[in-house]
Amino acid sequence: MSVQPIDPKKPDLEESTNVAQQHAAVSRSASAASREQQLRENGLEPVSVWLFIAGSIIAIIAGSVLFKSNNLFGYDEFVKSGYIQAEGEGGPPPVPQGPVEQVYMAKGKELYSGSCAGCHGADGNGASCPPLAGSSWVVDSPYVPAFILKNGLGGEIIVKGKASTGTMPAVGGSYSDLETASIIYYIQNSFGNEVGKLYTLEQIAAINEASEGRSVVGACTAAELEPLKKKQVTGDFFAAGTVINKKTGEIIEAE
Amino acid sequence: MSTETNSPYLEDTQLRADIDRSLRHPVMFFFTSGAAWLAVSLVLGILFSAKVHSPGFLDGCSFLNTGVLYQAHLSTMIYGWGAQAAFGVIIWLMSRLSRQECKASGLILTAGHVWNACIAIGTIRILMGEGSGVAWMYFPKFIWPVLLAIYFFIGIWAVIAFRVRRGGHIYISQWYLMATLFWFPWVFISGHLFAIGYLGEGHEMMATAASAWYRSALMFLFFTPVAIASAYYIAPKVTGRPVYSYNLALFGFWALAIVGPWTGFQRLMGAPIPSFMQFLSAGAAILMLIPAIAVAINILKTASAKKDAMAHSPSLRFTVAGVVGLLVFAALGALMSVPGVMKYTQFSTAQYGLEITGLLGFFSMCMYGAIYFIVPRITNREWISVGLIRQHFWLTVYGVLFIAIFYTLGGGFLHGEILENVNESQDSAYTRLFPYAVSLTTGFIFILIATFFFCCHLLLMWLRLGRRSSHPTLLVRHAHGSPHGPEGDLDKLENLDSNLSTH
Repeated sequence: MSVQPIDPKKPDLEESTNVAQQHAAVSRSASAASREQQLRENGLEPVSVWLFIAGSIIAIIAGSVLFKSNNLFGYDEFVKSGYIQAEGEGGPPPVPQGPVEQVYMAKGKELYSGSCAGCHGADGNGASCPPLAGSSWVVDSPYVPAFILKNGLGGEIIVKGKASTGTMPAVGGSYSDLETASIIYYIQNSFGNEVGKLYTLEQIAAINEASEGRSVVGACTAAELEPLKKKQVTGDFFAAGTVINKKTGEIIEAE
Repeated sequence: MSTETNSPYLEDTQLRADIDRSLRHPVMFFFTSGAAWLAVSLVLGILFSAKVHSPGFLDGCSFLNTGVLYQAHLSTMIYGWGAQAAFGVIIWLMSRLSRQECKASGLILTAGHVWNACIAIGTIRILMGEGSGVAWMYFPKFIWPVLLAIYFFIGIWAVIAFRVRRGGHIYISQWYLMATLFWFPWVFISGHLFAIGYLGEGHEMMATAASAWYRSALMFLFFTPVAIASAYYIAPKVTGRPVYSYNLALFGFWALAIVGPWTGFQRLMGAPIPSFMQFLSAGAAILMLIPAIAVAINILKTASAKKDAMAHSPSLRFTVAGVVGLLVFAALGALMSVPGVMKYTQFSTAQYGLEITGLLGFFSMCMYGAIYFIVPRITNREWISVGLIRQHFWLTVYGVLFIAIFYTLGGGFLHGEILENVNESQDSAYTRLFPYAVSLTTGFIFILIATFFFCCHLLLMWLRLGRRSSHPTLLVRHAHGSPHGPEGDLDKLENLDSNLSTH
């Protein structure tokens, strides 16, 4: 519809606009916007003096916290030299300990499921790698598994009559003697293997010494490991039931 | 008959309605998907919390362990709900205050979809055990640069709207929004670069410090300014009163801008970083009470001038609750930064309780207030049910109170005391902390029910099933007469319209 000229004599009475209709149209399409209040100019009411007092108190507390530090640019504000934690009632906490075969088995199982089971399978039958169950490489001598753990394995190897190639990294390169002893005990006495020998940490240390003195560098090969199958450790094994410290592997004498 | 009108009032209304209409799709999308993420986050939070007090719960699915659930719960709350609610409020408020229609709603909507896809991928990766484990930056590393890029696509339009604004006066909310539009990328980039990006590699202490700073910077420099901007808009708008004191608002803004960035390192009290970082942050966290009090007094004074509006308007009621939440949040934060108190709270559950109090009790409350105001305008429909709004309000308040009082204060301090006591046995510690751990689950369940109501309500509004009425949905027991008829029904207005045109 065309815009009608406004009658200059009656500027406030523009009859062409139906006010009710206009308002109804706006209320329909913008009902929420049409009832909105305008944002006013900002107020300038006086702020209570208590607010400033409260602010000052907060600032003073904050400042006192900041200057609690004795040396703002030091790194050792909290270092207490020679600090020893207070002992609880009833003396120091007991040393974690247990019979050696249980300690080895538990620790070995934990390490195996974390680092080995992914390739060799939870049941030792070898998911994607040579099996450990019934393998002469595992059960004949502790030297072979210890060497492989420390150095890794490369090239072709025949396990239970089946040749396989692949590379095993030096999974146990950073294992402690206790960890090496535990995992060897675990794989030699699980999945149907029954070797039953409880190697002492001294024996494991001797094997590791031999491993470090190898003439070749890098991963072991089947040819290198073949003679080790016949090599046995010297000295006495742990007797079953010997109580050892779970963390260090030291023998704990019965009191 | 003219379609143009000479009335400045009608013209102004038309402009506001046009701005609302131009932003309908992106803003509605941010709010609705944000609320859905909040519900997801609360479900994950309940599972996490239940595993804390009942460790055998959900033993069957080993991938849902406590750490994974906790990371997924906080990530979805911060980036799924918090950031999206903030984006919706930022773009709407900025367009309204700058009096400019949004020209890029399609682009913003697309960016919103990509943001949601990123959150979904990140959350699934966290549940698969690939979370980064760095506080508040739990998503796998490849997510954050994408989120940042999307932010620029969303945020740039608010900056542009501000640049081409009509009218010279810059309103208080616009200060906060402009500030946070620049603070957010600063905090987000530096936090991620130093904590999980290449700048932090090999500098473990620095990465830890950056992560501690990021948590508090994101809270104080992103969530807080957005919530305050919304409160400064809603309170005068609904009451029709001017903001109580302009000078106090100016003071509150600059206090936040100056103090906010310094907080955060107090969480590392005792760590081998220079002492001034920890003590300065502790001092700054106490000083944060000052901007909080300034803002709270200003808004409460503005709102309390009209007590009936506070009782009846859902927007104002949520906003006022949020501002009270700000006071509680700042006071708890200050309390936990006093070294004598920190002894008990630094390593206890109080820290997590404080974060939840801030996110749900303060920020979310203010966002709900804004959403209850904005949605009827952009959909041109009124909220359907007073009951749903009322339930949403009270259940959220109960839940937050549970978490703030029982979990944060009671449980947090008891936990700290138990940690200090060498002789406390594991069993007695478990027995003593058990009820407080349960209080977190209870609080989350309250809030989850509230969020479910809220989500359904929002979804119905999104489907344009809201009431068509000229009367807002107010929290009053109805039936007293109104000059526009009982419900202000628009169909009756239309009848009136047609009757008039026949004459």
